[in-house]
Amino acid sequence: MDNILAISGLTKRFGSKQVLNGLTLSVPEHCVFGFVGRNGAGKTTTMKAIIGLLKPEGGEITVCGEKVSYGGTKTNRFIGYLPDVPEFYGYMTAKEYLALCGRIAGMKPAEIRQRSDELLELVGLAGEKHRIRGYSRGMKQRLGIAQALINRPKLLICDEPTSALDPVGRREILDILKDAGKQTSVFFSTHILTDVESICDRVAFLEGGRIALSGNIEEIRRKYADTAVEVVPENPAHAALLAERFTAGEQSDGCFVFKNASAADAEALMKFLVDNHIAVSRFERKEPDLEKMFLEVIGE
Amino acid sequence: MKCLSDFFTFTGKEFMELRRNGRLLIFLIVFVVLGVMNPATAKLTPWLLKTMADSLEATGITVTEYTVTAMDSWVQYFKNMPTIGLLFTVVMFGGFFTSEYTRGTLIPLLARGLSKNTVAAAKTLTMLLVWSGGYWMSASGNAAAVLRCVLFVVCDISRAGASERGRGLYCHASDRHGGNRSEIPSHLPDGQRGAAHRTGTALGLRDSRLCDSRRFGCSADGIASADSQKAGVMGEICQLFSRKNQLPG
Repeated sequence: MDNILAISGLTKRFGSKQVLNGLTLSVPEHCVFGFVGRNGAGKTTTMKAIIGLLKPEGGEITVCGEKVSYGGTKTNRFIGYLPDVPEFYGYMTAKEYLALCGRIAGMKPAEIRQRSDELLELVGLAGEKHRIRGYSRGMKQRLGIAQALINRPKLLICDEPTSALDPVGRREILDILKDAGKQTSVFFSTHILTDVESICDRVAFLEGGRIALSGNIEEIRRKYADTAVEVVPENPAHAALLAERFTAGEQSDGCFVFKNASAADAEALMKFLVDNHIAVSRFERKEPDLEKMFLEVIGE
Repeated sequence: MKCLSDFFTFTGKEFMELRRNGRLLIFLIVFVVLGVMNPATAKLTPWLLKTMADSLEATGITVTEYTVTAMDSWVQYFKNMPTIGLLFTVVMFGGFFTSEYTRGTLIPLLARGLSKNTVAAAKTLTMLLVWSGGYWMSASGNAAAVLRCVLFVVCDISRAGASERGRGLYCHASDRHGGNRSEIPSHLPDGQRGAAHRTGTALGLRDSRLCDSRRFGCSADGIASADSQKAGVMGEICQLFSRKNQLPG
């Protein structure tokens, strides 16, 4: 079995709004999959359909080869789900909550105890004795990941786990997800592209209810490669000199940009700078970033 | 099997919730109060009316002395529980289903394989158990309070004997004889008749008909007949006394 999750032709409409319009994607085993789309693009809708909480109008979802049915929870034994704003029973402690989840997942008491300790250690809540009602947003998010992982799911689904967190909290969550990705497939939605870049192996851009672009991040990068070289001379007047010599590039405000520069182009550019004794304050080879790709894909 | 284990797990969680957020304690207090309230009211009503008799008379209302029995307390209790008790339970469980839905606390559990039917069944069972438990508890409270009164009466009567009968006699202010007269059973020794008469007068009753508490099951503390049916019986008792003792009509 290659794909943990396979979605084909998923459609969903809320009133007059067609949210999903033939969405098709697949998540292979042991992969961190970034599901990117703007707010309201249908990310949460897709995730709820995967766990059977929402009835799609068309299309098919299979998890570990088994078909997902609305209201049915059979396939959920393979899934750990972290909602976008996880809410827990405030009167319980983290350990009690994990025990509740473990029991519902059908685990044995000894296994629950052992797994809870492991997970609370992993998410950094091991020493936390207080009840959940006193937890910060970040702590709740971490507990959410722990509960999602309690029964060693084959697929971990996280709905925007890093939004609304401070930079430290975000980093921690990403590290936890990256760790989790070693044991399970992680399918997480976000609109923060740097998160995707930092931990994902694969990515899919959701736009207009369907996947606009998906694949391995490195492949996409190569496909959309725009390896520009940007040079900022100490003397702004030299930018014009560079533009004169390298006609493929252009200059503005004392900055020279050579788009789609090959390695040979970059070398020639450096040689020219040395030969003409042009001092530079910055010489940068630009990497294509997902944000630009995303904007390009969604046509903005 | 999984469904059943989920059901017990979730019911356990519901009781933990009720216990930890203090609702179970509130239920306990309210049901106990509801249970004890009716005997207490039954016991206090005659006293209340007695204390208010003078002021009510000034406004033209004649207070008819009435007596209250343990049965009245029970009747009142079974009238009150389905209204006050049930209303309270409904209010307390008002957001029992919806709050979980709106707060989204169920989602991680549903996503884990918990069925919605199991949630509904567990919550229903929790409500039924709390309501039934509360009902039994308050009924026990009621029974205990009633029993206490009954025991008090029995002990009081058996201890008191004839000389105490005066205290156990009941008066009917609106009997067919009318007038400001106290009627004392002739079989009582004079001294005790005097005591009984004084008791009736001290209670501010216009017409003290005195009945044998031991014989007619009247209590010493006002737990005797109150509703119309029993008032009728009381009237008959008074008549019996009149004939038997050949009291002046």
